[in-house]
Amino acid sequence: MTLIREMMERPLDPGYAAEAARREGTGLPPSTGLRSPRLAVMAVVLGLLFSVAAVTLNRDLPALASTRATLIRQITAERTSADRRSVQIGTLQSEVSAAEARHGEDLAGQLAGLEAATGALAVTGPGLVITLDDAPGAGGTDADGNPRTNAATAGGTVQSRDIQIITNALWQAGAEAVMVNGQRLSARSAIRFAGDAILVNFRPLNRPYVVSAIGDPASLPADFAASTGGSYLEALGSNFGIKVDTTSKKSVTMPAATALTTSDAQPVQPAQASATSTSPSTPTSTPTSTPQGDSP
Amino acid sequence: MIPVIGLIVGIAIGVFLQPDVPLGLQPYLPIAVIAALDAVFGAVRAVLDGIFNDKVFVISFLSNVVVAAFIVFLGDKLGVGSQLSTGVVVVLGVRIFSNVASIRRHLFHA
Repeated sequence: MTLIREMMERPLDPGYAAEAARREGTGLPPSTGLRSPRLAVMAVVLGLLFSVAAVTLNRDLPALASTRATLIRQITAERTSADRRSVQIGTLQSEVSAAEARHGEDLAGQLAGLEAATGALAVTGPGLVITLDDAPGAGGTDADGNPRTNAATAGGTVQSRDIQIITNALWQAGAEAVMVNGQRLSARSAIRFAGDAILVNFRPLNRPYVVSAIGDPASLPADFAASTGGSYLEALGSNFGIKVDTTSKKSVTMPAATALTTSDAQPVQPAQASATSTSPSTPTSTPTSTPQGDSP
Repeated sequence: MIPVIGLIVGIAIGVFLQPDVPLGLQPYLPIAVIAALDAVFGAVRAVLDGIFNDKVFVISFLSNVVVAAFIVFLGDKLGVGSQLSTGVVVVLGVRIFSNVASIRRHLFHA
């Protein structure tokens, strides 16, 4: 409070009064007047201070204003573009729904079904899992490195032909998707022999060989067992000692097949082709049924 | 008359030369201007009171500017620069107001 009263009631520097009193004491007039050179210099300094301050503090204003204007312009432009985009979204969405109405509601379902049938889509479902492994003692190679030169062990190893016969029998028994050791079979799959190894989709497999098939759980195992594949599997086990294990599973999950893209094969009349192939036929003719030149 | 001419000369020099103030000193320019204004209005009042003294004016002006700038500098270093700037502006503003009120009483007798 004292501070505020002091500030309010005595704004004038007390030095003026003191100096005036001292000058009066010595007989001089209390005021020095305005003609002293010291005051002139001081006035120049004051004017300089004011003008420099004004110039300096106003110098940045145009730059700031232009930056601000640029930002506002950008905001407006982006906002109008966003508005335009949302209008576009609306028209595109209505176009999409119109196209959907034109082509029938189940187009997406058809696409998913086709992709699942051709192997382009990962699938899951009930199925059959057949595990094959070499006969005990047959896994090693002979001294000369070729398992087939030894008659005793020649039949004890699983060969690509075995896998081919089993997969063909599975397709025959109504399997909708087949996978060998994680390699989904598609229209471009091949089961081959390369030296010692079995190749599926050009990937070498390691034993044991697990052939999985998705199909009707009521009919697939029985149909497979009744087919030539079933008896072939039995013969493999009883005659050559190959370990065979067949189990029905409630859920088998298969990944999408790799490398399904075609570069040379062009669709014939896309519109007509898509119209005629809407119902995926049972995949009876797969490349796996054609024997590759790999029989030992 | 001499002080007014000096003031105009100083303003003209500043406007035409447009000297560059170092970036570090720029925050103190507004405070310096307000401190200078306080000293100027005090001087005008002293002139009207008949007790003007050029030495007192020069010393009060310089000390005003230096102390105000120093307080703001100290506030910046302590992290309360804006608060201390406000304080300095308030104090000097109140002084300017009451000095101007006193000048007005002298000039207009009101």
